Amino acid sequence: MFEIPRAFVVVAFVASTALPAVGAAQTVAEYTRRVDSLGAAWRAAALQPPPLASEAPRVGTLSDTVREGNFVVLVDSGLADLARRAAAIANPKLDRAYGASAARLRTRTFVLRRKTGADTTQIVSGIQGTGGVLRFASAEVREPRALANSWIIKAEELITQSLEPSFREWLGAPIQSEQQTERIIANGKVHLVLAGSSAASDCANGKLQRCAQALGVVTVTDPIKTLYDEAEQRALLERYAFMLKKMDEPKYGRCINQNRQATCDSLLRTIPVEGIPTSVPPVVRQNFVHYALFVGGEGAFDRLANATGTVSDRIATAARVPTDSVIRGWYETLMHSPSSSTAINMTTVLSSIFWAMLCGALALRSSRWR
Amino acid sequence: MALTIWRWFVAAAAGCAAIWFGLAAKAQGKPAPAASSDYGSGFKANAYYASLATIRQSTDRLRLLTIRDSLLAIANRRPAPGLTVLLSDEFGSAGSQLDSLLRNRYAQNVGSSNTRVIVAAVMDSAQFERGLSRPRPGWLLPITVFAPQAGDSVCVSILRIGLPLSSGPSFITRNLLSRETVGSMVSACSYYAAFGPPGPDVARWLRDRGWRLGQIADWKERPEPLQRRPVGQLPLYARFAGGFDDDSWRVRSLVPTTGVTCLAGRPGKCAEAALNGRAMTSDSAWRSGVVALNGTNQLRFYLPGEIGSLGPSEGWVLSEMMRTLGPEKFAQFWRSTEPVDRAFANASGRSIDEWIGDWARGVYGPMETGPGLPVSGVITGLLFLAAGFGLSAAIANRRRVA
Repeated sequence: MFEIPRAFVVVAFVASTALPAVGAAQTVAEYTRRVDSLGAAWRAAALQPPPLASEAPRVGTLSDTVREGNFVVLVDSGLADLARRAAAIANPKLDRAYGASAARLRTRTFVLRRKTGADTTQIVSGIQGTGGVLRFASAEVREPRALANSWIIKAEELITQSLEPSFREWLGAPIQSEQQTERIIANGKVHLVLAGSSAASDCANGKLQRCAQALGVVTVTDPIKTLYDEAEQRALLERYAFMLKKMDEPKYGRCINQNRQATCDSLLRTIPVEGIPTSVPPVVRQNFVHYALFVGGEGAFDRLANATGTVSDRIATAARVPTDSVIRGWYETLMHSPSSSTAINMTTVLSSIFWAMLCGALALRSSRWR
Repeated sequence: MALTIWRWFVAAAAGCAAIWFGLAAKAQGKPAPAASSDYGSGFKANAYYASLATIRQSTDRLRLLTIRDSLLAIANRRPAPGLTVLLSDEFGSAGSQLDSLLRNRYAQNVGSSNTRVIVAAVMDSAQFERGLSRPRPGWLLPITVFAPQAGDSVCVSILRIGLPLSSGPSFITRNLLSRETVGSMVSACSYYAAFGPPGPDVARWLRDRGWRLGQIADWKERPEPLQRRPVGQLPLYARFAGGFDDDSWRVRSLVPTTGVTCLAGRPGKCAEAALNGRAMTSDSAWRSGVVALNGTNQLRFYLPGEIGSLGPSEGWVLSEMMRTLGPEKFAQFWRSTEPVDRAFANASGRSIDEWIGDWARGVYGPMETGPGLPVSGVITGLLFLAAGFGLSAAIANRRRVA
């Protein structure tokens, strides 16, 4: 009750102060006086922001802070031990993957609290954002290893965000902290082979110069003509048929129906650069950077984070070898390493035959056949 | 029982009476809802945000004035008439391109003038001013122009960004160097430099519409009509229309109703679109000497604000007036003390309604309105009508009555 009249007074005072006298000049002195008056009234009123009606999760009021290695965590009462154990699991992996750069996480505050509402047995974690909003919020299991995995995913996102924007834009995905495993290698191979551009196909077939173009580590003056063959260019035109028809339907018809290449080239040039899909998906670039960091060894991520120049320069700095060598090594690992095989292994084959035969035998023993 | 006229009358009257009194009798429904218990908290919420908004506006203006005074101090070290371009280092290589574009555009527009014009692009990253929060410009490329005041002949135009250009998305540089942004940065100052202060009615006309019709100044080249440009080459503010095969419907999605009637040639509608409309009456003291514009930005593309009566290209109107009338006639219009429509007619020899109509049709194309049929439809209908008459006449002639 007491606050309402005070708020009214504040609004009235602010409104009257903000309305300048007609004909007043715009001077620093005048506005300094005005800002100081407003500030004095604002502080005197001590108005608090009203609770937001949105569904965005909030940090809330938390009592304890856990500092463990790279993590600073605001925790609800009774969750400090869980936070500490999860951080202890996550820290070595992050230090191994990101080196000294993992310490940048200390500038961000993680949050671990009970879920608000009726069911407070559930827990939620995230990153403290501005205005009390909880970013990257996720429901968690009360198990240190699971919580650590969740925090590692968030940390990958945060650490990647600290990289230079143009490199981030090129990469299009967070840099993983996971060590080079068969699964990662095989995953990269599958996505490269299935990328759907002629540049990616040529790369998969061993043309390393095309790998550099497909990955985007070299500048390509005409991306459509360089990265895509005629069939893929046509598919691109059909993908943008709606817009291209609106621009010039007869021209589009001559290109698609009469196969006039010059007309099609003219249409392709009208597609804005940002509308051209990348020749490989982000997971392939992510895989490539992952390999470069693996080659670079200790301190590779720190070198990547501190490097300047083009994407190619940064990769070379991180790996400590020329980018061409990185591409060659990555290609060999991806396509010719035993670890990259996507064929079914013998265990799967034998177990499949066994179960098929068992089901067949049981079917033959059915009374229906007697 | 037979339904006689009297019985029918009585039954109808009884039915009407039953309906009347049935509607008139109001059932006891749910009680009226109690006064909202959140009234107090709602008022507090508005008080908080209203006060905060006023404070942020004042701190932002204080910051702008401080930047302006700093720029004047820098320029006064070597005072010289004409254009001075000042760019922060945070613009990197794009800064030198912007410098060149600004100088070329100003030279094309004004040439030489005794009015001092300072055009600046600065980074303004401060989030607090005298202990109070203020909004950071972000990537919307706001442009603020301090027009020359009485006894003062300096025009200052300031574009601000909130972060170094290198940290922004790649399209920000493209937006910064666009023809529309460059034109906005030099627009108001170009007019003041070339023609001096405007007459009172012209000044009020521009001020009350936030300089919407004078946003972009390019006095040498005409902007290419929107309908002939591929979508990918349209300015961002015109690219959101889509979904129609017919160009006239595409224009209808770009231009409001008043503008459409202007395009259709309805007398007086073009003058109404240009001269009437909602005027900004608040904050007149600040706006009397300060013009707030924007460079090209993604917000205007994805979330366009209020579309002016003359569509997304209305920012070119004043520039096109200057280009088509020529400097002498335009100066006569600009400095006139008469109302805007009379001033324009005296200077150009044409009514503003006619000129605006020609300009709009040149940009958006002509428009047909109303439910009229096309000529081919009329002829086809008449042919079918004649064929129908002929067929029925032929059938009638062959009929024999026994």
